[in-house]
Amino acid sequence: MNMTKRNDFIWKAIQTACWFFLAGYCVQAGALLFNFVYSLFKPIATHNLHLGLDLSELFAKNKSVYAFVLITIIGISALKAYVFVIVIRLFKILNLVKPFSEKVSEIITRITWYAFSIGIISLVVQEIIKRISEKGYNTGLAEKYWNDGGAYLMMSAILFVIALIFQKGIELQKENELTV
Amino acid sequence: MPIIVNLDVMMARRKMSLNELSEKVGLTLSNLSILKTGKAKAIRFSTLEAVCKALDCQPADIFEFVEKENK
Repeated sequence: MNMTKRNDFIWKAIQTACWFFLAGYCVQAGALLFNFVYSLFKPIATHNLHLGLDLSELFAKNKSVYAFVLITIIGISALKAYVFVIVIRLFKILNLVKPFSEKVSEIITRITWYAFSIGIISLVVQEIIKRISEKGYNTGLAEKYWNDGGAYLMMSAILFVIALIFQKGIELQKENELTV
Repeated sequence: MPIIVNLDVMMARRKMSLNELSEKVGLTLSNLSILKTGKAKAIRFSTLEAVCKALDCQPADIFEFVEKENK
């Protein structure tokens, strides 16, 4: 399939955006992990963990809750980064002449499951943190790290449909290849 | 598959090699091999027409329906 200039541009733009997102999430997860470990020895770091995230009150009140919140944020950021690693791998192996391959289908299914996991984890954590906040714990701006759970769930639903279409596509492509 | 391809039988009767048939029909050797070994899922009418013309036979001479026994 020959891509038009416009489609080629969009294709490259999406790939570039994915690289930026991957870098962003890696930096975010790395910075938070570093600051988390650092803050355990130097509590002053809790005032600005990442882009204004201030969990000093939470740290002073309950270290376990502080650790739970930060580990969750780091986990979700790492999962998001990994999703983009898989997406970039998908772009690398995707052959637009013969797009329906088992490998591509497997990668799309994997992205679906990771997106679904991120969505569910984000929603569960959102609910847990809401209840923790009601008990007087100040979680600051931490919510911004998991408030996109719904978007990830929707993405996983769309990807699930695409994965099913891909399965059908593989069948049709195989049949086409075995037509003489 | 219950459809048996007797292309090799017809080729033997006409004393025609796979290479020769491939040239006459205009199909690649690999595609002819797929057809001959019964791996093909479908055959185009144009291919069937070309094969029948090259082997001077009817479609029924190439294909045979054999019902599978129920286990």
